[in-house]
Amino acid sequence: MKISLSRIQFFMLLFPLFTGFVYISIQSIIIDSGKRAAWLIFIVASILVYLLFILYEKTYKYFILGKVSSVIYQIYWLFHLSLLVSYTIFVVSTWMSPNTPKYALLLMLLIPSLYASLSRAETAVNIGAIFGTFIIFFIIFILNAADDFEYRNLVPTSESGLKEWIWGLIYSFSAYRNMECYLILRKYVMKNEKIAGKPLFYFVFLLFFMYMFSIITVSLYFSLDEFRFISEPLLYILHTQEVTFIKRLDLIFVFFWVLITIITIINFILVVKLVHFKKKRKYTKMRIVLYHILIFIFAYYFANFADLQWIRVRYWITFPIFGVLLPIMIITWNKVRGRTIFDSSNSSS
Amino acid sequence: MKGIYAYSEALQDSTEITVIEAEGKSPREVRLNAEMKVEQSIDLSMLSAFILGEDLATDGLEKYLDVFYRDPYNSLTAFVVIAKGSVKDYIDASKSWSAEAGEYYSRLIRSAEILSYVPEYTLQTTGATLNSKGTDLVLPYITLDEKQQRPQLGGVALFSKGKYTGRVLKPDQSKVIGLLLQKKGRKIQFSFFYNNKPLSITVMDVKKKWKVTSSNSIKLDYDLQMDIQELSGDNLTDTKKIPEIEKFLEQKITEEIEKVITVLQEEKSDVLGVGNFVRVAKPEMFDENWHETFAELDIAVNVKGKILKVGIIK
Repeated sequence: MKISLSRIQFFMLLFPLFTGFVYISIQSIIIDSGKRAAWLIFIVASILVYLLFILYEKTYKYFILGKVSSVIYQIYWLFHLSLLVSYTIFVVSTWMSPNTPKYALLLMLLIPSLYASLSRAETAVNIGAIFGTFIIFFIIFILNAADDFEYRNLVPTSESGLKEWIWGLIYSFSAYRNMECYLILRKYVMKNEKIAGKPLFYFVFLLFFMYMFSIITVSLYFSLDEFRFISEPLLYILHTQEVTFIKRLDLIFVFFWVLITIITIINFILVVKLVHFKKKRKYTKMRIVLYHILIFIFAYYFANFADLQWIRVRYWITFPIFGVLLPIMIITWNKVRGRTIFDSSNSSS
Repeated sequence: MKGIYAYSEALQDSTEITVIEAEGKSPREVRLNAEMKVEQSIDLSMLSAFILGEDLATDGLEKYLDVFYRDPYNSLTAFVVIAKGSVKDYIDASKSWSAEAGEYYSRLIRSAEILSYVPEYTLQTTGATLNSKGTDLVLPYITLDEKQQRPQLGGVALFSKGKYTGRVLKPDQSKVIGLLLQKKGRKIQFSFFYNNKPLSITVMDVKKKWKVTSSNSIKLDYDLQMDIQELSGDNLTDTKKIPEIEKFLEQKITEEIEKVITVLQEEKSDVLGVGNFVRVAKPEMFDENWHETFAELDIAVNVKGKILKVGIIK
């Protein structure tokens, strides 16, 4: 399977992958771990992640997935996507639709994804454009709560000690999980498109801005102790806002978020397809259908409070393993052997 | 625990207020039991006021409010009100009104907020304050006029560590809380006798500056911008009179603030959020025993007033 991406398409594919799934839930765990300095810790984590992006940009040509690493990533992505879907239906059933059966919610998410995955790759590439509208409305409505912001909630940062800094950093990195997707998609960007330098900086800064905005606003709005109870603080803020045209503003944004989650799933499955169908395989469509069925089955069993809570607390582990350690091992291994994606694609073709 | 729900029911040519009473171990059970007495389920998504009896409030609010935060279908913008005596009397009083009880009470509180008699608190901000270690809650307190059986604002109920202290600041003192917690767009009116003549002013804007002066003292500086609303039998053509009135007002308002702060310290009720300020400005002063520290704190108040307008006559 081969695709060719412009710079904008590349970033549009990546943006939901980095923000779509975790965006409404990551703030509580970062703030509860980092306490008053959470926002400062997140800035430090983002700078380190930016350096990692620069490193990956310089070395992406050495990121060649072999048989074993492909299998490892595909198993991880299956688990990751199942968790993503189960969390989404859990949120939808909590906030919006408590009486709808789990299987119906799962079908609501997976049928559009299946359709897009069976269609041409361009469907997945261009669908992320919807994000822009969402972001503008989202920022406006969150700022509606500004009257209730307590600026002293952000200080003093000295209240956070070493333990808060360590766990705050660990969970802040989680916001940037899926770093491996950058390496996988990077080689499909047209050669005449420049990514290094300003374009990469703007992309990372936009991610940073989105997360930072959410961390700052929820920190200003809620007391520190409340983060122990509130798992989706952004939805909670929207829930408390009174506007004239709708009683429950949060519902609109749950709908939006479901839409964005579907885009995230579609984009993720594109990444899976790029890895899985690197070599020509038989029964392409059957495999995609089977992948969706597996997600359905796993997600169905994950989608309860106790399991999701257990996984969420421990899910930080995926960033250092699959986003940093494994890619760096693969890059180092291929660099030592002198193999690049250009040699690899030449040899396979 | 007893709960009372009031809602309007459309009849053929009019609407009638229906009141349902129920008991239960928790607010949720009270609601379930109440639902058994009506032909429909109670929907709290349009809840506009939550009235709690003062006897329950002395036991702490958190356990009564949990159910409201947990259910996304509940409205979190409803007002929380503390009522003197039995809540049932307040609901029964609503039967003769054209407005629903919830609508009436929310309008009552909203207008008191605009005049700064009560600070702005909804179910959501009440929860945030209950979870804040450096500030205490202060909620509207309503009483029932015995002759007319009409609810009225009795002032504000002071809380300490999430529990109602049993002390109420009457409206003439509660507006001082409004002044000290000033929010933009709110006006605060004061009336005094100046040279035996009534003098009414409106505080249009407040700028505050707090400073920790030592390990046991804090200074609260307030700059007020005021309009004269009423000063009968005197004219202000002589501009020297303005500084004189300003000085008089500064002194009077300082006295009012000091009286209120004394009450707050007696009740260990840090409704001004001095704790939150100290936690940032001098963290070593703030600890788990903040309420004890607050009660012993030496709080100096300094008010500077500036009269900007005197109306359309001099």
